[in-house]
Amino acid sequence: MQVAGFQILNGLVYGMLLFLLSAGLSLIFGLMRVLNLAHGSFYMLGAFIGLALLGWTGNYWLALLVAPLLVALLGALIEVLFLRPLYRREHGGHLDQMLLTVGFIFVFADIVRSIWGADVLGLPTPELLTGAVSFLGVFMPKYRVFIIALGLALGIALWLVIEHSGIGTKLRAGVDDADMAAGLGINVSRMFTWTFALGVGLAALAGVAAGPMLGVNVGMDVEILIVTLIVVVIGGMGSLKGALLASVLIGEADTFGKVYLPEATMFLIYLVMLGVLLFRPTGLFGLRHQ
Amino acid sequence: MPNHRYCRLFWALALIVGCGGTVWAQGEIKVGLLYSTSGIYAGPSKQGIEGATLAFEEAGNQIGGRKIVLIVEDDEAKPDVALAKAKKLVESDRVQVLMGVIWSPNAMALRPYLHERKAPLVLSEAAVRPITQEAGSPYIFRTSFASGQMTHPFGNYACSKLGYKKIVVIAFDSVFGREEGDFFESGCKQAGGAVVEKIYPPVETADFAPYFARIQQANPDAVWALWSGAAALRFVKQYSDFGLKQKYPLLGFGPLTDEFILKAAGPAAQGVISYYHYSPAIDSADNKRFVEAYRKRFGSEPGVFSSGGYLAARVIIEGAKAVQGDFSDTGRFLAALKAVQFDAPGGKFRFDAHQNAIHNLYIRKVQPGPGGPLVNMPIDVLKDIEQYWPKGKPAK
Amino acid sequence: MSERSARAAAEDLARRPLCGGWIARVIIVAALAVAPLALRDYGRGLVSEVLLFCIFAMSLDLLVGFTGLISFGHAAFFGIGAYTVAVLGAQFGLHPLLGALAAVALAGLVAAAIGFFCIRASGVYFIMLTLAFAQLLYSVSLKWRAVTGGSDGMASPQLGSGVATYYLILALFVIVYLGMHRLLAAPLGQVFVGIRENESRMRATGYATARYKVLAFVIAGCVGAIAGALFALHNGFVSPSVLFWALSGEALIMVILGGVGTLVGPIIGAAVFLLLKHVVSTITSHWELLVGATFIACVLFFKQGIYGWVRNRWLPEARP
Repeated sequence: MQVAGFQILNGLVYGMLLFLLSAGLSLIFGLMRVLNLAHGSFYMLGAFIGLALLGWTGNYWLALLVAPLLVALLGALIEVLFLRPLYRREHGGHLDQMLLTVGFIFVFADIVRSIWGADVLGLPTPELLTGAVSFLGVFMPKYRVFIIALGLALGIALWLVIEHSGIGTKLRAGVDDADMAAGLGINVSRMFTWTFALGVGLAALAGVAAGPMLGVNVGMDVEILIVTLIVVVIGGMGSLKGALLASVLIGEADTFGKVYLPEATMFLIYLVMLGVLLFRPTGLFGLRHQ
Repeated sequence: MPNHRYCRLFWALALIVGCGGTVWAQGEIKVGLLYSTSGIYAGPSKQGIEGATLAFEEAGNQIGGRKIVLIVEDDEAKPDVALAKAKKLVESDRVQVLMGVIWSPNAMALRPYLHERKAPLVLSEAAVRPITQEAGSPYIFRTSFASGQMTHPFGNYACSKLGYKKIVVIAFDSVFGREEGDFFESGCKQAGGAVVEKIYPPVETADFAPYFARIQQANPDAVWALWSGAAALRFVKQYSDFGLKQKYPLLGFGPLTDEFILKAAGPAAQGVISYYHYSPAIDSADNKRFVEAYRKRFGSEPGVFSSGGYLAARVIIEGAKAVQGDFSDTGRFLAALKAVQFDAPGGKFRFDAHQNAIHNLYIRKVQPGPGGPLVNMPIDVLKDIEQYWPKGKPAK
Repeated sequence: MSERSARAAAEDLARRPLCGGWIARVIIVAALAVAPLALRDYGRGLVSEVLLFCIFAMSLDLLVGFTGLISFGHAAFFGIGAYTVAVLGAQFGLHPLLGALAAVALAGLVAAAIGFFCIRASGVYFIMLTLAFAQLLYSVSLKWRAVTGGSDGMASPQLGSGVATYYLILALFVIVYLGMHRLLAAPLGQVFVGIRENESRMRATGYATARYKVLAFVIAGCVGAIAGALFALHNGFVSPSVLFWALSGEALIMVILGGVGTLVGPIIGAAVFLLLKHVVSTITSHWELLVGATFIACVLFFKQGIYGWVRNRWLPEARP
């Protein structure tokens, strides 16, 4: 029983990290219909910039706060300069967006390697969170508990903003029908930029948060890209609820799979996705008319 | 119509580019370095190239009056790219010898081509066993190790000298990982121990926590782990975070505690016992000189991959010296390579009859070095370890 | 796009004098045919590789550009092609050309199965389903060590002559190109295009679009497997990377870069992508930066891929 509790908590840790990543990606696609394949690259940038900030200031919390903001700014710039020209293209320019974002994957990977080198680096765990606790009868490093808390806190914050604020209402209107929203006077263009910035900012936050647990290395961008895409698809594009549920589902499935079905670890998440899409072709909470 | 021209021009351009072939100055000795400088092996590749560069610089970048030119190519850890780049190096750049190759499938993919082309390769990393055993070739030398070479004797050592009788094996899921796990077990069994569980997580595992639960359930005397790169850092850190290090001593294959991990993981790595044919903390004059030179030149500690590149380059230099820089007779050069012997930072270096290196195996423990920071301190050494033949050595 | 322009586009394909017409094509093929005399082994090998990836890219464009199905799992068929040749050669000593035939047949079957399941979804869900199936095959190649050699890969039988392999690849390249051109000009091809332009309308006019989509999958899969089989013949070595999603991604890049919805587009895209990678990576270690920047620039300035740009500039009268 204790082992099961331990695994459930572990699954939740991984799930929360996935949530931070998938929430952003889902929002971006839900509103803008942009499949941001460079999402993992922003995750990686967040981790490295966080590492640099930590090196300069010695303060982990500062890095955790500022790195996502910097990456969000970069994201906004990229959206305005590179993505905007593509929206008006044929068929929404989806294929063009894919090639563009892939181009950025390459560019960011090279830039990061040029600045920080090819070695794997470590992000030291902040003083406050070193050591472990006995959490509900389970021995768990404090830092992992923090990640669960962080994920839940952000989930609640996002939910409050999206469901219960003026901005959120406009966002939801845009997700439902961008043309109509524009017709109602909502500055859809600006909202796109903010959403993209928010989305990649969340990815960057995930990068800094994951640093002490997973290390910081070139290659972390593609390592989580596929699993993030799977989570978003399972949850349903554009649905925050879906992203949360799917993240936890995959986190738990992955964790329990590793223990009880080790040979299937590699393809378990694909089977889960296939299973979900079989019954709900647009994900758990995805909109039907996409 | 004007379009003809552009289409044809494009194809003509493509063909010209395809021909490749830059004209190099005559009289130079060209060495091709085939590493994976982009992707997950970027770090080890960089270190390998640094080690090789140092060796060539120590030799004054010349042999017998001829200048040495290094040509580095990226094989992206993909066999078809490795083959294409090797072809470019051999046919287009006309290198006299190749070195490097980290990724085992790449080594196997190159073997038929190199054998047919009579192009020598000094393998500095890939551990795929057949290439110096049943799939050997007079053109392929290996300065690193064949899988099993170090792990089998260490399995024996762990279960005899270190006294652990119940061990859990955890290695990344690949042919190499699984083979090493098996060789550890065979060595351990020989000494009266037993491997109670074998765990093979995927190569890109991010979170090891689920596996720690399995280890706890097995309740072993020690845990043997085979990881490298980012996964090794994660493993070491998480193993310590979960408090497993105190309960189950961690035994690791060399790269698990490679120097960059000691830097990045900090106290998490302390106390871990690892084994490899090298450590920068080896107390010998040759090694001290090498470490000092490497530190000065590159500003970091030489790890396993740095020494790997250095060794391969030294072999090439010694072989080239023996033929006075004259590569026209490939047979003579091969014979010179085979006979190479020199004092390497890890001890005396030489090849066995199958052109695989014979090494001293250092048992190391992560502890504070004389300067203060953590180092892989050699605590014991097994001398002259040769490649491990699981089905018994051939009569030759 | 309006219905009329869609139909016009389809008819256009039948008679559009792409980039200079047949004379240019014949000259190019002739140049390629005599190339081995001028090129050394390395250059010839490079052209071989470019040509077989051109075949792969063309097969993907049938799905992406003509039927509107964006597949992120096309490596599945490439891998089936490569591994079938290698495994049948290793297990049964089967000649690689026979192995290639078996590969195409197998790929067709698998494509029918995968297609059947995937077309139930659309948009990004479809994309991810194709990815999932390809990744499942990838896992199989890794796990089935006894047969595939697992992560270490395995050797593949070859034709024994680089020159012979080159001419085989060139011949198949020409055959595939002509075949696809014919297919797309034929009514079947126009059905595919119709599905891309407006599927519900096609259904309304009585077409069982699901069946046609699966058919597109099968054809694309078979041709993709041809490319994979040629890859095995060319390299003499096959590893799980032939099934990995990165290869699917590269194929998509080739198609988009060159120009979606044409046949010459993927050819140019494959050539540019591969040459860019090979040449730039030998010049600088920052090849990723340059390649990525090239993609970004191409997207922004070449609105319909490289070939689309070429066509728009030099053949404006051919635009619908």
